Amino acid sequence: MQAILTLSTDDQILALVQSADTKERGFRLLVSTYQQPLYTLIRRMVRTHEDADDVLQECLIKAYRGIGRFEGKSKLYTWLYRIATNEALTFLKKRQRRAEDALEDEGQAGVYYLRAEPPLDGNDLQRKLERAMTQLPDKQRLVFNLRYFEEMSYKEMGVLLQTSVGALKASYHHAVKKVEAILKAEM
Amino acid sequence: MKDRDDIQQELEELAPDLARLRQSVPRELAPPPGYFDSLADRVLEQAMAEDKPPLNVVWHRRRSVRQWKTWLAVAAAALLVLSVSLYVFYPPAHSEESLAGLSDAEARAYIEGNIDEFSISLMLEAELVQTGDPALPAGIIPDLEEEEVEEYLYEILEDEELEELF
Repeated sequence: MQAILTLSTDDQILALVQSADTKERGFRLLVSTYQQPLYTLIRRMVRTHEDADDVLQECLIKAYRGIGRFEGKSKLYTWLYRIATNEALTFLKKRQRRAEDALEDEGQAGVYYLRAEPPLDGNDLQRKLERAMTQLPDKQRLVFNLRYFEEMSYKEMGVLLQTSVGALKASYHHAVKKVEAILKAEM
Repeated sequence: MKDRDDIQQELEELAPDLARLRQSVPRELAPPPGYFDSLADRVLEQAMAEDKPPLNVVWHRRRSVRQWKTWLAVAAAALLVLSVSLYVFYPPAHSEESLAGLSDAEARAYIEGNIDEFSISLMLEAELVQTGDPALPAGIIPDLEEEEVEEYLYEILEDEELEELF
């Protein structure tokens, strides 16, 4: 959907970033085009705005450095989403490691988890949904986000996550059942 | 549109409550106001700062230090060679003076204590001294009869060397 709307914009971006003189202009266009969807994707994964800001900036810096080598084998937004999901998953892994280290210091872990998983904005039901999603493993949560919120097809997701359509379907179905079960238990 | 419909239909079959909830969930999450206004600037600032060659600067500095080290090593080596050459070709005068201050007895005692048979052989060979030279330390070259010397030489020298001698 996004790709169709921004196809000409993508072409402009890619044409501009090829030349050193116009690279900055092209990159600014890329940021203004993709900052909102990338922010949302990352924020749903890492939860806090501060963490989302860190991850998004890292993602865009990598995009800036790598865009010259982008060969156009995939759509620009798929390429950007791949960077964003990799950055988000790496961030979550690091946070998990820090949490495990904190577990060794008694009393620290609970405080850390509370800080790490604050509720997102929204009504009560939405907050419950967000809370239920936090109980999914990181990769399963990513698949759930991409399908449930981003409306991504399994095929696109397969390209993005380098995973088979069958595996993605199974992951999504499992995630959906689990989230609904958690929501029902809370009601 | 078809994708969206497929996704909603799939969800309704799997989890109807979740499918209903999805209709009211915001698709986008909003950052604090003004966040996106400066995002590109901040990213570009960071990216360019990291791209700018602090690395090159460091590299130049490193190269400069390396050059200094090389020059220092070359200078030290040159100084060493010069010092050794001066010492070898222009030995310090004070050593002669100090030797001049030695009495004959002291010199003889020193030579007797430090010279060995091999050195004497070399000195004899170079005709720097003669057998029975009073400069030679007593007892090192024994007073030998001519026959004894010949016998000794026959033992240690090869035939060709003997032919040259006799």
